Amino acid sequence: MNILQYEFVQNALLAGFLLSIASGIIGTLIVVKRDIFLVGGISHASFGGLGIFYHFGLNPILGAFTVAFLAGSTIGLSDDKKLHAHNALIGVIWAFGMSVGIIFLTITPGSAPNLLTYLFGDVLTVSSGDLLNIFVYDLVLLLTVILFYKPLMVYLFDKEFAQLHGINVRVYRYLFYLFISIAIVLMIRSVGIILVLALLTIPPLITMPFFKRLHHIMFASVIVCLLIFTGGFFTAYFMNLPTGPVIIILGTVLLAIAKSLCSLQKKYS
Amino acid sequence: MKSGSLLIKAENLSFSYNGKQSILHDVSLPVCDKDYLVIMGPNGGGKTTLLKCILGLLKPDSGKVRYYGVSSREFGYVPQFTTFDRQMPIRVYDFIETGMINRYHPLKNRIPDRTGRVDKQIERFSLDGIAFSAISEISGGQLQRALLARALIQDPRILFLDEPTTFIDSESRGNLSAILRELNQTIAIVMITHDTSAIDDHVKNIACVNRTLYYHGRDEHLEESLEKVYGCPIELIGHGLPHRVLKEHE
Repeated sequence: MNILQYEFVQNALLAGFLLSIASGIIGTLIVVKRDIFLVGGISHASFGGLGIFYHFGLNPILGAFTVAFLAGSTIGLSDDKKLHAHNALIGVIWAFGMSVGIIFLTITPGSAPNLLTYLFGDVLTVSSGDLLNIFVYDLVLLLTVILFYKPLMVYLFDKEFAQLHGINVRVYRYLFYLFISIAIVLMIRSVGIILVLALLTIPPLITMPFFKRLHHIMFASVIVCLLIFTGGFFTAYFMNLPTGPVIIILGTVLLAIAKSLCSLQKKYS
Repeated sequence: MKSGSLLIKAENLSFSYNGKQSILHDVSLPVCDKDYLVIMGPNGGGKTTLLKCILGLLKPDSGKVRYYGVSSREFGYVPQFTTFDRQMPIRVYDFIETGMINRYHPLKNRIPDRTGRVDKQIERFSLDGIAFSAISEISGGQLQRALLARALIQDPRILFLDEPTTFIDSESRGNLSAILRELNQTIAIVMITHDTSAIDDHVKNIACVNRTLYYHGRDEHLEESLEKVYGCPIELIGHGLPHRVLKEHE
């Protein structure tokens, strides 16, 4: 029996390919900017918006996006030099969003099965509409990163220097959060809110020690993301396990192997 | 005060965070062409804030910074090591190139005379061997030279340095001081430091800042003024800065 002949399998694999492009690039930016905790906050908070929109019969994904962007902007406005207050704010937004989401989904009759879908995702439910959305997102993201690669690098690396040279740091910041928010929302259906963070950050964490240049890390992260997505998908399929968690466990194992390789390399070089 | 025409004038700058904590109070300071100005003072005394106000990176609560015939594009800036992330994946070569970022055009996707200028800086600061290393792999002294190369790539008229000696060894300090001396033949230099030994006899003006400006110019009251700023006597002669040397330059 060839599982590739099923349309939902084809869709899932295509989604994995398209999401890997988004995840490898955005994930690299997040890891390099050391914004991992912030992204965890944004993605979990988005669950609040999802719950509220679901309760009122609106498109829940739109709700997730709205809250993701608002949370990103609010956190972005706080001064990240005052790290303690900044992290506290992220923690509060993270927990508050989750709580609101759970309450609204609980008071909505018959929503319990959906709760799990949004939290853990299911790549087998991806529709061709979803695929088109991710495809368009990939195109816009790639174009933006290619055209603004150098100023983006200066923004990530040294904000004051960027500002001194006439780069509008605020525009870059908002664009950054906008791209992150959309990426999170696009990934919710496939891997779920809880696992978005892992899929975004594991590939660049694996590849970073092996490359010296930002775009090399991005490219390698896309490949690694695709590998763990596809590998995880087939493992989950044949072992009859949920896809998202298997993908993440595979990623974590790879990360552990990569870290050991790295320390071995350092030891013997 | 000897040196050329006025380039920048900070007038009665005051700055506070959240309108509460006063960092700077009524500070006025000129920067002239071919000046070699050192801004001294204890940590937390407002030196960096003053510099950022002058550069236009921070907006003062009151007071003004006027530029005379220069724009911020003609500023070279060497920030403190701590202001950026050394783990950032970028090669020394690309790092130096970012000094020309204001000439970048997204559709042309290249900077005019890019390679020529970067190569020149790499040669000037003897960075050939490490040009394609990541900045996380190089030493403090090498990073300092890369920062200088980035700041100087567009031939600025004023070079600003914030605590340039903090993370480098004494040999690199000597090199830095020689480089600055040579640069000062053609451009103005404004250097922040809390380290009295970083001042050599080519410095033309010294300003002491601790919330407010205690001294500016080159006269014998420097030691007294430093004592006021630091709250204890400062042995300048022991650190190789006799005001006698400053006087000889008059």
